[in-house]
Amino acid sequence: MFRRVTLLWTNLLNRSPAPASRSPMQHSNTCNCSSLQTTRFFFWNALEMRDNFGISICFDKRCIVDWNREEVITLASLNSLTILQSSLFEATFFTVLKCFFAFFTKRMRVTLLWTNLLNRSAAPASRSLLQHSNTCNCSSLQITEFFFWNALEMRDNFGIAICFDKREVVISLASLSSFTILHSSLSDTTFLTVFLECFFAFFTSRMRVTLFWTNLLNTSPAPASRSPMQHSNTCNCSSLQITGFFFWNALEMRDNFGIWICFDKRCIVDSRREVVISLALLNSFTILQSSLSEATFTVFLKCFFAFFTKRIYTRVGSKLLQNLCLSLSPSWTQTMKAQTRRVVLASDSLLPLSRLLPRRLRRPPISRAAAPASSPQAVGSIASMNTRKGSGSPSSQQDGDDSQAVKATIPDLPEDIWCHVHSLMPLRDAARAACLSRAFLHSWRCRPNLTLTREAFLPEVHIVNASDIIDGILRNRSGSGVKILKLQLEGISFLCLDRWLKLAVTPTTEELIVMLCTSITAEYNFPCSVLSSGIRSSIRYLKLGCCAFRPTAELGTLRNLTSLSLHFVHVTEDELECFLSNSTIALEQLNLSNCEEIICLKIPCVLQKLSCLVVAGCCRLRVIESNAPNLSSLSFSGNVKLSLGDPLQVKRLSMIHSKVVCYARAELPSVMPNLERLAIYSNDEVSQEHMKHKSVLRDSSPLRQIPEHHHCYLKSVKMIGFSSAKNLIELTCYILKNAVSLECLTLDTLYGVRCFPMGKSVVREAHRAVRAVTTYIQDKVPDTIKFTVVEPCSRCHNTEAGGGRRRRRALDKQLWLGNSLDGTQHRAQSIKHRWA
Amino acid sequence: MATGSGAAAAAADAEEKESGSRMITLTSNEGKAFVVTEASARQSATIRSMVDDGGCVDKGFPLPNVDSKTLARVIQYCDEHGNKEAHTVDERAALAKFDKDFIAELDADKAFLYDVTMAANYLHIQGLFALTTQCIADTIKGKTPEEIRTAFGIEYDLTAQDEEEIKEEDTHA
Repeated sequence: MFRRVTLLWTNLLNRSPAPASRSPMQHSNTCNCSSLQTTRFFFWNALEMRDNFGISICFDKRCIVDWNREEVITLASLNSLTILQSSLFEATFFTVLKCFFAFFTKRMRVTLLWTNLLNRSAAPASRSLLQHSNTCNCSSLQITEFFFWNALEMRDNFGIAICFDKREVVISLASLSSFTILHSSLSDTTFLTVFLECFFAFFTSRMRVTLFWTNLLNTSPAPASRSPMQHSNTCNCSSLQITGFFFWNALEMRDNFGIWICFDKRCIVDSRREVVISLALLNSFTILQSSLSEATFTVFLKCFFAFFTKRIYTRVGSKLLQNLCLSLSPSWTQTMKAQTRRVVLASDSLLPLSRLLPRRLRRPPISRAAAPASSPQAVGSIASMNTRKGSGSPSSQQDGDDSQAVKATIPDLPEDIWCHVHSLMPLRDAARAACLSRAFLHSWRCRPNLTLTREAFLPEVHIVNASDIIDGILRNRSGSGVKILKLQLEGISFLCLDRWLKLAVTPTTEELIVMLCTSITAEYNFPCSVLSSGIRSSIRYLKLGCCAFRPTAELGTLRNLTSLSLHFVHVTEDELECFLSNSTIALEQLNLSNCEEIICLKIPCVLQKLSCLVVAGCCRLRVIESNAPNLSSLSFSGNVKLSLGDPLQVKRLSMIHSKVVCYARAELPSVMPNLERLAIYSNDEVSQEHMKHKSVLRDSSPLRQIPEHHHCYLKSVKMIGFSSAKNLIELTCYILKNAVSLECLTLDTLYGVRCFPMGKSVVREAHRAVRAVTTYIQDKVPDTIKFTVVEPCSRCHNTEAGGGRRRRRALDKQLWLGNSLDGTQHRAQSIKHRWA
Repeated sequence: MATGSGAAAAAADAEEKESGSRMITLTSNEGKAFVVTEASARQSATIRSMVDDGGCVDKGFPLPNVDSKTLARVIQYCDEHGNKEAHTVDERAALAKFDKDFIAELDADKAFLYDVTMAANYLHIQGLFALTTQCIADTIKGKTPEEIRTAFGIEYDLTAQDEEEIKEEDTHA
């Protein structure tokens, strides 16, 4: 019987002509129809499918499960309300509405129906993925509904087993926007007397009312978009809308991805959900107030509080009410007082909800000047709030008002911008800011970059405690996962490391940096399973330090890995070659330093994109054999035999070894004729400490002339460790004369690092070099050239402290170890020595 | 290669100048029209894509989410970065100095800074967005929670449970 009635109703409401088309072929025409027609089309279509094709899935879902069909049917009825109103007399319409509500109140699945009734705006313009793009042009309201429809459709089409619980939420979410539409489309009286009152009366008796209320109140338009791509549009919404968006998003995340964290927080922990819900409530109040007329708003509030008085969360209501009294104009306050008294009595022991209120609700908006006289209670409360913030005196109250503009705007930045700002702060500051407010806490929880370094925790936190903290950080994270993870710690147990990697590395991780310290007893074996799981297609940058890396062929292809760095990593040449040829097809940059197991480095030719190869400090390395066809930048150290697939490609070259000057002069021009940039470092051939060459200052004979060649492409020359050696001065003069396009000349009399402890002889030589530059070179530099001389620092290099030598040795080591490893390395090293 | 790339760059410049000579009208939400060069407008990825899509260049672009004051300031940035070149060290330094002054001025008026941030985000002006968000981050950096709270008037709204969790993951505060 019920079924019949429903259909009857549907038909009554759905009294507009049938859809323009019924067959799939005619379907395309419907796209041109108004969205209203489209909705009906869907409805008709659903029925039609059942009737014409007897599609079992549809049929199953719609008919066997009775309430499902009911829903679909009622969905279609949404639109008809508007039509109905426009075509009936007002009185008739009232009757219809009343009957309608009376009818549905008795139904079991009424919520859904209601939802749909409310959700009476036009259905989405399109339903298929292809048509989806059209919806982007629709207003945000349409998009919301689209989502709603989509959700139902998903359930229906794919039988997604989202429990009804969840869907109800989704559904009620969708009804949010309709409130606004309803109000704008119905006459005021209709809206107030009939609709609102019926509505509240109805929902007061429902179980899931809270959620519904949330949604009802959250009447602002839904987020402009729901996909990440559309996400950016939402930034245009006001922050209130964004908050709504946040709420939407949270639910959506739960629904779409089944992320349990969210769910946990919102549903299982009940108090949490309450908070979220009330958060959503708060914003809507403001919107509601601004969008409704005063009378409407009064009715609304009355109903609202009447409702909440009966609910468990009375405190929510009472606090809200109190604060509302503060924020509303005096006349409002009058109307609310009776309500307040009733509600305040109810409870005092629940949530400290005042915290949840947005600032704007806590202060009288415009009536600030008028308020003090008429409602002393309000001023008292404001004052007490100020006292809480530590600015109780009358003068500081003035200050408070002055900074009002700033204060009010802070939360106005949208969620994702705050997230971005948060990610720009160092970890410690970000963590500190998370204690400020819920919004900040949220952006901390979804911070996309986690830099867990020793510096982030020391000196306050002992490293052992740090691991507890990191555990906490990772466990409490929410949102879309870490994009950039940097673990640079010492003294962490391997179990912890494994756990963290498992927790933090998600399919969104793009950069993974694990830099550990050489351990005394054992080495950490980097778990390659981390790479083989979800991040296989997301990871772009991988950097490992001080661990063992044992990749196997099963690892699979890391499609987007463009940069790989290994420092002090135990990896055999076979393992590396296997990894390179199997897993790193997109590799563009390879950086190996101090990987001592490698003797012959073979770069397979599958690395078509590899353009940059840096090999440093691999002391056993003897051969570099590269078949990568596009290698254009190469840097290596040590006495290594080079075998390149295509040496003509090489444009940048950097070499460090003892005979490099010789090699560069004798062989390089013929091997790599296309070189554009060359850096050579030689300890043996040129040295400041043991000057093998005669200083120009001691040799009075005139400078020799080198035969002239025009170097028309040379643009920049830099000499590090520049000395007063006569032939070096002669070379510099030659360059100045012959390099006609020279733009930049740098003569560094030190080791490339200023303020770096040096041996006495080096500093002395550096001073001599500076003198030589002033005497022989400075005058010859044309104005067009940017000329820089790095001189010894007057503070660091004047006096030689007793411990200079020791300090220097320590720092030498540090330099050798690279900048990424700080002083901790020395400690580990020295401990090692002691044990040995 | 040096001359090759130089010539290519010059050609690209010439082309850019040509298209840059077109003028584009941007309209704020108050209906005020701002006429800017195309090069300037192209700083915004949002507008750029609209222009490239052959959108209504002549009719101009209404920006319903940006008010006149904000738009004027945003255009100031775009003009500087769009109409000037940044090839040499000096030019880059001049731009960097402009950025520094620009943000210093904005930093004095936080509310306005947020407006500009929102506009930069909406218009997808990457440089400006990076500049303003970094500025906000720097403001917060190094402050104690109490300092930040008093400076920005952020309401304490965390529940006891949140606090518990935070304690777990952070001891700096």
